[in-house]
Amino acid sequence: MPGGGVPLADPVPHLLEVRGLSKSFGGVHAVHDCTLVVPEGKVTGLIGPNGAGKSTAIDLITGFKMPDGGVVRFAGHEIQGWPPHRISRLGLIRTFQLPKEWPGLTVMENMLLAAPENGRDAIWRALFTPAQLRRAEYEDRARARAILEEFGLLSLRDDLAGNLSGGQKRLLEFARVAICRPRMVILDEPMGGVNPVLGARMGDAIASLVASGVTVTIVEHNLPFIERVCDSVIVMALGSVIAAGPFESLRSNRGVIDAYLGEVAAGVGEARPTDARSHPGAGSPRRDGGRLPWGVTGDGDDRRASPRGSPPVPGGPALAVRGLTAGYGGPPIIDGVEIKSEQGQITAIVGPNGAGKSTLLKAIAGVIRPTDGRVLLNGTDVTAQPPERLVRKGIAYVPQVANVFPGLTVRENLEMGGYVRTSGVRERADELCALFPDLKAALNRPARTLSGGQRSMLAMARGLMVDPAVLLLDEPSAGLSPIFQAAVWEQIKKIRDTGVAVVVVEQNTRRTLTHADWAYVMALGKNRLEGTGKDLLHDEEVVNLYIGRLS
Amino acid sequence: MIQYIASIATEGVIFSIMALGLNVIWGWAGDFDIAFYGYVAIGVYMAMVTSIGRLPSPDQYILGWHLPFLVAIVIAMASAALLSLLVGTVALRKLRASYYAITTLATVLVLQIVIGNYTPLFNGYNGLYGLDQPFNDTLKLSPEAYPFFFLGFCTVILVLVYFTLERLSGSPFGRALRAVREQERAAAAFGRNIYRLKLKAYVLGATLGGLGGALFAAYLGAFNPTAWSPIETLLLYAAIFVGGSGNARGVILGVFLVSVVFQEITRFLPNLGGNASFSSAVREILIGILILVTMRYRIQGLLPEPRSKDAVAERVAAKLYAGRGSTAG
Amino acid sequence: MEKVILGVGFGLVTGAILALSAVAFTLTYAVSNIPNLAHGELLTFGAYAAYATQRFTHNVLVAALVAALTGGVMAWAMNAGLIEPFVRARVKNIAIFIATLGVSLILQNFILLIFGGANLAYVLPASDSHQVGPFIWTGRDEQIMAASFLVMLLLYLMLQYTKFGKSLRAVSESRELARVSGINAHHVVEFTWFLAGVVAGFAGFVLAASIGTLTPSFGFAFLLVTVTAAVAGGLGKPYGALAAALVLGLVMEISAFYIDAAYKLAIAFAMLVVVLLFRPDGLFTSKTGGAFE
Repeated sequence: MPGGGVPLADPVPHLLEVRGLSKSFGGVHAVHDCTLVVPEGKVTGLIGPNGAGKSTAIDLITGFKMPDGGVVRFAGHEIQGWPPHRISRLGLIRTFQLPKEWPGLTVMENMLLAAPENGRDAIWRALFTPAQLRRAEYEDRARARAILEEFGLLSLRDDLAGNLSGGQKRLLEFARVAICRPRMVILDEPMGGVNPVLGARMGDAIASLVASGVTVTIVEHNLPFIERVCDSVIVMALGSVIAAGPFESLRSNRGVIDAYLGEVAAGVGEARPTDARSHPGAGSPRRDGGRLPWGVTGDGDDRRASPRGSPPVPGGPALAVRGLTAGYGGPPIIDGVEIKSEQGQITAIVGPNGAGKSTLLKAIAGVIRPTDGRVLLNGTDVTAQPPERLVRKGIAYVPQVANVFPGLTVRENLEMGGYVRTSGVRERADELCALFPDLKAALNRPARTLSGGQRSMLAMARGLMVDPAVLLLDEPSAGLSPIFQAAVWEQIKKIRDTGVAVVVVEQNTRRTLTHADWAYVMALGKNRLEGTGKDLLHDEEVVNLYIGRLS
Repeated sequence: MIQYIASIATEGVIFSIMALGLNVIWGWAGDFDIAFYGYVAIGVYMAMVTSIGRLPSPDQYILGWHLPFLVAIVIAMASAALLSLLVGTVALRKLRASYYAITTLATVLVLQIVIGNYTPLFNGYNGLYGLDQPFNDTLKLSPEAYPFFFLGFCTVILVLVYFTLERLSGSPFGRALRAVREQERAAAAFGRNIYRLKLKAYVLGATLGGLGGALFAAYLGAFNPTAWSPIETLLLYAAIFVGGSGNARGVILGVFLVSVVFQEITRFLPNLGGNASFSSAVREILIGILILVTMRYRIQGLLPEPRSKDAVAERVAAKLYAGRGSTAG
Repeated sequence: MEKVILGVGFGLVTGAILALSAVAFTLTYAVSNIPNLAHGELLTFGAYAAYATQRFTHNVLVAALVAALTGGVMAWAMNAGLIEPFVRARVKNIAIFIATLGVSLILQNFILLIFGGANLAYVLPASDSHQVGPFIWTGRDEQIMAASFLVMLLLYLMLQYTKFGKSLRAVSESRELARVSGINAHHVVEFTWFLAGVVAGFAGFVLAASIGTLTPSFGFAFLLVTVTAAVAGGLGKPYGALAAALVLGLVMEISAFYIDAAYKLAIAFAMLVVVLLFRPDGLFTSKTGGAFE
């Protein structure tokens, strides 16, 4: 692994060059002026927090989406705007986040299709030169068998690819790349949901690809893997490239860390006198003092906060989740999760991508059915009840996307929020307009004309129409500028102050921890850390979960 | 009695050819095309106007040649291919699934209306007639013997079609088409031009439809627009759904089950309530139910898509290339 | 020019009938996301029910009511018996779509069995043409337009001002968000189908009255123009369907003055193909619009 900084004049030729690549969707810049280079013959990582635009950039480069602007140069050709099959025939292929095998075809057929085609697909060849085709295929089959054996899939070659396990499908993806012999392959999150044994195997597979001369680019969230395997790394955030170089140098790059953990807004300090809680095991943080790993000095507070005793909340927590396990039909996304949320407190749920935070909220709200565990609302079991019923019981859920009815006016959105109320809809709407003054001005406008920040407010207000005991918020500040994020958090605090138990899932970890009364850090579907927001804010463990070494 | 069996067997063979064509579009490529019977109809019409010569006025239609029937068949196939190329170029470029189906439905209805009303084309709603017993001026078979000859002729064609399709199905072309059906994005990621492959399948299927149409013209002797509608396409689909999408033998089985057996069983139902269309109505209701059941429980049909086994290919290759060392590719 | 104006007059009548059918079609699509190709049979059954009732009661209003109710019940049954069970069983959308074709086949032939295939004359009291401004309409035409206008108005009021109407719009925009707001989406969908069926059944009655004859497949024939209007207006958008239906009616009737009237339908279908190729989301859609713009 090369150490030190990036050489001034990079002698290795660039196989892929991207300059000024841009794409927006409906006013949102998914990729903005993205510029990067990929050297030939090396392994390059492409990392960045959620929403950085990595997937869109890959789609743009490989022809699956049309760029708004910019240049992409591969192997001497300008390929921006080319259809995907044409780019692929130049020797640039890609995999997908979810394995895209051909499920109704056998494993061997999947391999034969991936092998270089050389005009064999033509109808006239099938009709008039079958012997030639058969001989060419004989060679491909022999190569395919050798590769399948390397990956341990040989015995499955006549099975339908759709019947393979998730891990086997990932290996098949690699096998297809191997037989294809491309000049360059872009692997899109190959480690998603992969166990360590399989991960090691895939590391070997990548090594052998590189050994055979293939340039590899890996998009990944699993940073230890990236560190192990990549020669250099490109970091994206908010649609552009913010840093590039060897992984070690990026680890201490302030901009990179900020991108992952979010910024703490200047001047925001949260010194609420009663923000510690009586939790069993609460009080002292995990680690002792010393310099913080990212070169930021502490804020001077005594990190070993003594539990500021507050009387136990009568009747127990508003919301308690015990051993909750849920998924979307395949393997569970969350496994045995436990959280508690008290009235009048902000409970934050943070964690790196793929932690299962959104899934947790959906399982609580009844949108997906948990396979195990219990959800208790003020002590009553409400597990797996349909969402319409949970609303009546006092659980309000505000999703991240599709959180307002775009064609309905603001007033109608609020009315729908108050659908189950037998009375007082108008009064409640008026109360909420006082809480969210922006909405009052827009009462008769369709929700889709609202700005992003206003939409967030409306989404929350809709949820609050039923006077819920528990409010579940899924990334309420997603996609908002820092000013709006601050405004949203002000509202959340006001809501908390009215006695609601607020559960917030967020990506901007630092800002969230600044405001949270209690926080849970999840990773890979399980609880990992918990503590008061302040304690966790200064906890090195948290950084490690996001960027550092995972055991 | 035996004449009767020869007759329904011939019908079954001809429908099988049509259904095999539709199977290329639905079973192999996965597109729900409702315009298919339009290609059959074009095949019928073109076969007729190139072989029946000139009928006395007021019947009017284009061409009016008196070519040998084999030539008429080829022209029929080419016409269907051309028309499908036009439709497919437009419809396949951007549309998928329901929108695609609706577009093809609209197309075939426009075709039907235009042919029915613009009489100079194919004699409008009166239709064409007069295609009697091709080949018989040379063969001079008796009216009892001719149906068997024709059955044999059609069967030979079916066999040719069947083996051609089997070869195509197992070829890289067939495999690429199925990959596009299974997972388009991955097919594009591995170099396949999705639009071009689907278009090839579409034209191929339509051409076979035209072939079936030409034979159907000879079988029926006459044809007019009331004989074709989207229902006919639906009946062919029912045969494929039941017998097995993507499986040629399944398709033939489906045709004989649905078109032949169903039809003949219901033909013998008494006409209750004095309703002359009773038996055909019952038949179509049964077919509708059949479609519902297959959509719900077994969309792939009775016979599954054939799966090539590499274990077999390995053995075959070992025998073929034994002792030859490495061969030039 | 005079022809064009006359065409406008006829077009408004055709458009009025088409609007009823297209709006009903698009409402079920809005909540269930499947184009129901058995929609034509809602009209057919409505028309035949009206015919049968008329034979017994000789009362046009009762016949119209029965037509509407028949349509409503049938549509409710289609949803409860086919769409919902298939969706629950995770059947692919294209397969459900094909299944609705199967249902259409069954229902058409069912009518055929009961009533026979011959054209039945649906005779209402005679109605004379007279001149209204530049247009030529019969009394019946005027009644049809008035009735259609009334139904559209009621629908509009329902959608904009009643709790149910708003919940219908909510469900069509996001079923999940509706549920987490406490709306029982299942009930909303059921009742929407019933309502759409009522409108469709009534449309069948109106169509039969306007044409004067009934056949088992007359609903299916009308299905294609219905789909054309619904698609052109943007699937799932009732106001779009209304506008597109009127436009389509005008186009069809005006063109009938310049080319053979038999090609009216061909024009409609050609329009459909063009719309699908260039504006598959509908003629009146903005990219970021909600369902009911």
